[in-house]
Amino acid sequence: MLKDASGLGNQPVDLKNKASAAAHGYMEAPVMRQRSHNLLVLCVVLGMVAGACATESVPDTTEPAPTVTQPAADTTEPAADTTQPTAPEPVALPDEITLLVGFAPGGAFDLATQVVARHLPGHLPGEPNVIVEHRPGAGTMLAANATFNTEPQDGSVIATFFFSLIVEQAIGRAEGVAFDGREFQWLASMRTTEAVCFVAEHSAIDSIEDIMNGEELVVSATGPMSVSGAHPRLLNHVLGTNFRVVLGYEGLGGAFLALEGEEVDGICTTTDTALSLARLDQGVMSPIILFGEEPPVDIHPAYEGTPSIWDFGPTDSDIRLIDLLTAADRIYVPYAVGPDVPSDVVAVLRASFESMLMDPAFVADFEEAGGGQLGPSTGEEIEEVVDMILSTPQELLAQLGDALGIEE
Amino acid sequence: MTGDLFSTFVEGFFGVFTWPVIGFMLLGILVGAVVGLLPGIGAVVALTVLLPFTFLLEPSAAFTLLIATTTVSANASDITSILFGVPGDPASSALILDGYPMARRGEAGRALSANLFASLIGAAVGAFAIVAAIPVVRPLVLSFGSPEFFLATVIGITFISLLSSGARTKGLIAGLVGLLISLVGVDPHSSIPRYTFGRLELWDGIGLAPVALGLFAIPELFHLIVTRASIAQTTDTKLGGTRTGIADVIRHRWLVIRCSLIGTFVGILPGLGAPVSQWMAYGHAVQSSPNKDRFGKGAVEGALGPGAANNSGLGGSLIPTIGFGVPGSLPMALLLAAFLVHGIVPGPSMLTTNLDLTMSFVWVIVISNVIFVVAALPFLGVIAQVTRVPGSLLVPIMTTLVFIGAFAYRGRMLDLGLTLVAGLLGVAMTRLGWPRPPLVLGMVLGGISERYLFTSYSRYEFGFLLRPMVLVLIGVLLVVFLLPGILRLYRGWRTQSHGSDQFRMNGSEDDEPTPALASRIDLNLALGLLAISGGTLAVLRAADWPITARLMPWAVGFPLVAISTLYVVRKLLRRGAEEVSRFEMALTELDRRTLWLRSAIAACWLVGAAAAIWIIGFHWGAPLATAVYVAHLARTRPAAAILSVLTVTLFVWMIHTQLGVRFPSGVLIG
Repeated sequence: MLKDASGLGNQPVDLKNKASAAAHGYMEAPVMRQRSHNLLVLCVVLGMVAGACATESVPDTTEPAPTVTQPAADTTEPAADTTQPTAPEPVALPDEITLLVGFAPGGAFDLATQVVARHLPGHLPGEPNVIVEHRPGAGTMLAANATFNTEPQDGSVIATFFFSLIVEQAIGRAEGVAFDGREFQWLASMRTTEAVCFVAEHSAIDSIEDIMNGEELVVSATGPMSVSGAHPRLLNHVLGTNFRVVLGYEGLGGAFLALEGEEVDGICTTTDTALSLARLDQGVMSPIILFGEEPPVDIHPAYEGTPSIWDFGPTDSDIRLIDLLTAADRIYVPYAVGPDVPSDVVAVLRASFESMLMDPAFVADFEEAGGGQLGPSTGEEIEEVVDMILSTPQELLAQLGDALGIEE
Repeated sequence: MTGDLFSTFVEGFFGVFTWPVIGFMLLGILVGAVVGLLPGIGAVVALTVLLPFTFLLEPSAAFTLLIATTTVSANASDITSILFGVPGDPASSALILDGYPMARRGEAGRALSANLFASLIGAAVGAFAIVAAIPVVRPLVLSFGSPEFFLATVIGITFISLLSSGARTKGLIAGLVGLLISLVGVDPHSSIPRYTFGRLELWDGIGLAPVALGLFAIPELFHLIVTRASIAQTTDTKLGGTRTGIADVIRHRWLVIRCSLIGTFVGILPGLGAPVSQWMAYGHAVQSSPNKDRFGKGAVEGALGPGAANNSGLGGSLIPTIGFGVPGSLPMALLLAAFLVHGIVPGPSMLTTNLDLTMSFVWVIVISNVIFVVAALPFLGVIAQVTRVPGSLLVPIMTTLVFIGAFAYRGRMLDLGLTLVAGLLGVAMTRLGWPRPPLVLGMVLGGISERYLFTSYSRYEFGFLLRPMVLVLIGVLLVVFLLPGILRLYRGWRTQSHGSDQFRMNGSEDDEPTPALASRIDLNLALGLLAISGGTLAVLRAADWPITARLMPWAVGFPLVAISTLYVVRKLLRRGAEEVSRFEMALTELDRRTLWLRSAIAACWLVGAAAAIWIIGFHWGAPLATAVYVAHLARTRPAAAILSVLTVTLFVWMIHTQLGVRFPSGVLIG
């Protein structure tokens, strides 16, 4: 757990020095009495501030993405502590803990996190204040980078972001990755989702075999790394299907609107999205292929008898690719803290999440207001998945990047 | 069906007056009024705070609270825009063009009552239009695909020309710059970060709030600092004028209704909404007036048209949200989240089996509007007195609120910097007669039109241009918008080259036939060169992107370079008089030296205030900046100075604790 060797840990200190230099200059300004000089001083200060601004942006941009070749520093020791019913030594937790959401308010991540914020304090020693802060940007990468590099490393900031960022780190073609998934200290994740592709009633296609035999199915999608964009392209790669992905719709709602307006003939999304379930009820579309092994008939009876990607005997390398891409579906709404948070704090936080997840009051509240069914994973389980993703051979990752149409 | 529709409609009306629904509506009205009045802070901040709380409420109470808040905050933002020239919400920026000059002239009361009364009618027209359209609205929206939506955005873009009257070249340049700004961020197609300078904060584009606040609020603050006056420049006129305002609305009733319908229609289109419809309504008000020269100087039509569109759009934008699950704006996205948590899934059921719920939304919009307007009307005279408060007291509070608004929109300190940059541009544009509305309109339409263009192309290739509805829209575009524009442009250029001064609105100072070259080198030239270099850089930077990411930057960048080059060349050759937009007024009687000195002081103070907030956080930075201002620049009396500092401190504290806005503690303290 020695993290100080990583170059990233030094940056915040550096930054602070520059900022305080600028601030000193500023504080002197009001003392000046002659008004015209006053002006000049202020302007000089501004120059310095601008300079500090410019240097601040450097860590975000020029910091090379951490290499993924170094072996994972396995952090299984704390787990032993957490399973003890009594965590005896009092660990100094911050008075206020921020749950940093990488999305704007109102989405699935926000809904889940609001429930967590209501229940987590009761499971933390000393009942610290837990608040929710939104920092949307760059498909949650902004929040992930900040938590890794610049937020305080004392456990006062717990972030939640898209797990597919780890897949993007592995593929290594995305700009802006300034974190290493293996160094994040994962606490837990809240939900598990499964991807599925639907075909609209107005389409002549009614089975996955039709598309495997060369008929084209046009599907609407939001972005290239979303389930709607990436999963049909993976199917093209693995099953030789003929999905044509139309990218760029505004949100899942926009993608569904295109389906209802008969602009497209299908859509790939998750099995339990409210928007999907409502359309299954109306019978405007039906599922044609699942990414999970068993049809989730408990979610909706329409899934009965839907074939799975696993039924088509994928090769070993295909299995790895499917596992890799669907990992982000399985680990939905994960919580993590930065790499330099002390291990005893991490242990306490993990234990608190675990105890919260066992609490019937939390479970009931989550089912009602959490934005979906609870399907948690522990921090250790997430670590294993991260390790699986980041130890994928390079040529397979390159294949995946090409299949998804991600430019180098 | 129609009988059912009617009875559900009537039941919905009485449903609003049951307890606790009416209680939550009153609460929503109160919250909406407070957040709406705060500049830059609007429904988004309020809904973010209220959302987790509403999960604990009954669905009817929860939606009533959220919708009443959204409705009234749109109303109250208009008040801020009119009184202070500071957008209460980016969606009410258009009111600054004419509402604020009215306030300056001492007619704040008239402007406010005209606006509120028009808003009321707008909300009612919008709501009833939705009700009338319920049987056809689903097929109507579904008959629109990406190609049709794309054409709708193009029609919106043509309003740039309407909003640049008086300064066509400058307006066109500003509009193209706005379109270019909208392209900043990760492109929706190939995920390439465009013009982000390596900053992740820019991946989602440049926010509307910081730009709208910078472009409109900063120049007004600047003006107050430089002139050291209060907002109302005359003291002899009545600040009330409430009745005159209502009479204005009755006189312009058809304009109000037409603007309301514009608002409703634009609201129905997914992805558009009040930020677009206010400008289209304003453009329409200008276009339909026989005397266009009054606009920008306090024409009452400019205060009532956008007000009506702003509120009628709310009803309109409910349709894509509840009928299709496509929220047109962030407030609507929050509303959608509330629906989903309460188990209400948007879709056709909202227009059939759950119609009663939809009807109750419509009534909440109308009734909360009525209550707010009726409650506010008697106080408008009092509210209008604010325009007489000395600038020295107003400036620090407004500045603090503007920076808070810029920050709170997305919670990013970088947006303070963007506000300052937009503010600098705004000051330059106002002083030099460059119209700002085209820039904002370009900015709100560029990204979305690119999105629809690409989904259209990637779905249908060029075949999308041959779809019947698309052909109809192209026809509309050509006949109604482009043809008159082209004719006017042609005639304008002809008369201009014959030396007519038709396009000089403010009696420009250079009337001599052949001025020396030196006098032609002014700040206008600098802005022109800035546009050329910006356009060139944008085009060059895009050169190695794939075609999907490059097409729009080039489609905007090349014309920008061409037109701004033309502008600069014409200026250097002295062909035609300097254009001055009718929406921008150079306004000062100060001598040149004092003006420059005070401008420099104002600029330094504004930038210093932002820097102080950045370094030591809002809690300390804002009071410090206030102290510097009152003690050093404005030299107010000690009692007033202390009062200012205390007020600002209190404001920051209240917004932090009561509205739950999380302020960063500043780079030094953090």
